[in-house]
Amino acid sequence: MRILITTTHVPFVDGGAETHARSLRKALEDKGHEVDIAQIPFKWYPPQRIHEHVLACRLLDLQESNGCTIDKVIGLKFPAYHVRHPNKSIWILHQFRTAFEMWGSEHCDLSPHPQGRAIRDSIDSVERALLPEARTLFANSQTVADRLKTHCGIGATPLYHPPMNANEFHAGEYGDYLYFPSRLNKWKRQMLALEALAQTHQPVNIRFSGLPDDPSFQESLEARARELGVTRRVAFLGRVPFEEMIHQYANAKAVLFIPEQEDYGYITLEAMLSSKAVITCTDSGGPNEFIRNGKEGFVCEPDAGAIARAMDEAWASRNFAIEAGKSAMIRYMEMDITWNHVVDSLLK
Amino acid sequence: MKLSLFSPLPPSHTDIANSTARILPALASKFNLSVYSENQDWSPKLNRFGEISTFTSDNIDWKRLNLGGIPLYQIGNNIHFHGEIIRVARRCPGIVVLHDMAMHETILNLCLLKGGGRSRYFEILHKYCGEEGVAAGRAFLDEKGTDINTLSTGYPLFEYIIENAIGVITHNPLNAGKIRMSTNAPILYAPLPFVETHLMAKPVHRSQRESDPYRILIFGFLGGSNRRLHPFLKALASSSVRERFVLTIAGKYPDPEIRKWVEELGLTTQVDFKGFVTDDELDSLLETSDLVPNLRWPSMGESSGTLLRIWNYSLPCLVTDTAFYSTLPDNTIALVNPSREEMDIHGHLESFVKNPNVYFKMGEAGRRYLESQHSAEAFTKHLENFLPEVIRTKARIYPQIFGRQLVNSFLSDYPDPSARHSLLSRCARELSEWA
Repeated sequence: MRILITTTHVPFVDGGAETHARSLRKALEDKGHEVDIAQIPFKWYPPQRIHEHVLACRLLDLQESNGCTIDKVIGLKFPAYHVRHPNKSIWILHQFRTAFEMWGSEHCDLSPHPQGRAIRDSIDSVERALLPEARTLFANSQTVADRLKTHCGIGATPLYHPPMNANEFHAGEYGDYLYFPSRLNKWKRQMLALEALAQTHQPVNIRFSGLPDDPSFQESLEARARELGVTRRVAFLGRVPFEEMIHQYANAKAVLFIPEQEDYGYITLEAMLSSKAVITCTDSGGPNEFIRNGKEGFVCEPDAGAIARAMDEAWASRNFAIEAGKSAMIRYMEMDITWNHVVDSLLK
Repeated sequence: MKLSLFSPLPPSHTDIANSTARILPALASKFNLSVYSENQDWSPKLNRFGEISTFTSDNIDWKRLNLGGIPLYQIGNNIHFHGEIIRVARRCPGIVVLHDMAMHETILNLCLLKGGGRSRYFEILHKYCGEEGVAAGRAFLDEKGTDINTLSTGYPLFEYIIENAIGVITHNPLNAGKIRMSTNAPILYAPLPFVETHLMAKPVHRSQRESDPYRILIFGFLGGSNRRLHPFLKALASSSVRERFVLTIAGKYPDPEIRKWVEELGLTTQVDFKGFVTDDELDSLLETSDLVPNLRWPSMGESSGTLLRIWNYSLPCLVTDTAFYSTLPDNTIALVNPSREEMDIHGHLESFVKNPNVYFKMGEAGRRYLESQHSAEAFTKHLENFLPEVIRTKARIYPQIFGRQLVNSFLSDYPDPSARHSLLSRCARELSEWA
């Protein structure tokens, strides 16, 4: 089949969503299909731009290309998944979150706008009207599926997929640091990690890797580390090459991943593939679909004190770190998180 | 349920402020209220009904508003009390309570005083009234014959006020049809609310008097010619029973001008000027009066808070047979035909003297009508029943706003006119599927 993956792209930003689209493309190609990715630029501010981009997606004709039929479209992100096609599957990475679960939160840039609520209501209406056009509707995770049901009353099937280069991850030593790989931004809560670090009793160290969405954010993290007196216990590695990231995972004592309402979270799966326990939070979303408290790691309240206690426990007990890491790997296998399964589901 | 209420509040000298203050208790009993007012100060006793804050359209917590429940905008034809509310209402869709249909003067003042100037004014006129409206507006601004009342009657411009509304409430049943032609938002006719029933005045008993004069009271914001003060004074002065009446004038009015009329008409010994009075003072005057003329011509599409105060004290009321007043039950009001105004006033004064009990019964019927139709509880109930419909349909409004923006921003100057037309059709089809 000729399959077109439609997704949005924020120019100059390359993150999990872009990786996801490329991985899906490869998985489909490995099964013998002809695949391409249509990345539609998306700008969501000022809020009036949102509907302009929805309309732009709706006006595209993707039924054929260069004289040949496009047999199937797989849509991944709002509003790119609203392109018209008679044989469309949608695999929602996430909806436009500020209109839904982040509405009114400190991270919401829509609610402070005069037309914020009107636009939010309209986005909700668009989702309800257009999502059912898809022949099949999947969600990246149970978390995303639950949000879709809660906010739009639409059901979707969770469909898990492996992180990129899943085969490369492996277990190494249980070293002297907690690894926290992620873009640096408010939602990933590196600041909370620093606050927790300051309350640990064990000599916990944290290595952060990833680039900041906004350069000033890293400056603020570094400043806070200085204020808390933990500068010597943290390292900001920046963007690390893949091999280096594999190494950091492999030799970490455990992985720290405490985002707020993450849709899915490759980090959790990468940690599991590296046989590492994961410290996450009750409100972290996606990670909670894989990590069970006391089994594959710790799931604690999003509170510096609670996270500090979890970090102390993971640090102090090498046995727990090893056993929880092994459990994590076994659980990953049991859940059939493979591209074969994804392709079969999308093309059924 | 949360509700964000925008309104002037006492001590602002507008009936809408008084009306809002009276219905706040009933609203607060059913809704979690946030109140926004341009007032810098208000009666502290209002604070217990909801959080009250001052705002302007340039200084408002939009996030708080967006999270605070559906906005309810009290809008009347006065830029001083409603200018900022209108500016917010046009940006943040909500329910508009349209107290006046003739909004022309306020919109003109908004353009001239708050931004856009003449060009913006003509743009608005052109959109809703075409070239004819623009010509009339230009003639008015260039002082070439048209007066503002005639302009407002011909080109009311209420459409501009409700353009982005997700619901419209009118207190005048005659207006619903006209409003329907200008919006797809749900429309509610709800009688103008007065106050909770248990707070209405104690019953007043009036009876015929043989020698003491009957007391006429005229009150309110009397500066506009449509309040018919001068015509009434003339009619009283020329009435065959003028000696049976004394007149009290209370409220806001051009004092020197009216005193001059009274003197010229020989009514000096019969007219008492009170000036602006407090609510309590006005209540005392109402309690001790026998007849209240509440004439309006031409009508601005308003309903009448003044009439509700009059009925509260079971007072007979002379009203102009037009617009809202024509819809009232015959047994609750005494009608004055505007085309024979002086004659009808004479007729009523003479009838009153001959048989005042007929008029006193009219006042009592008005009071019963007030209790059944105009209580604050009744309005709150109407609003409660209206909100689900508004919530169901509000998502439609933004695509309409977006569609207009699309046309104005992108399609109006698309290089190829023929392509512009097909693009417009294509976009319209698309947007219609979104809600």
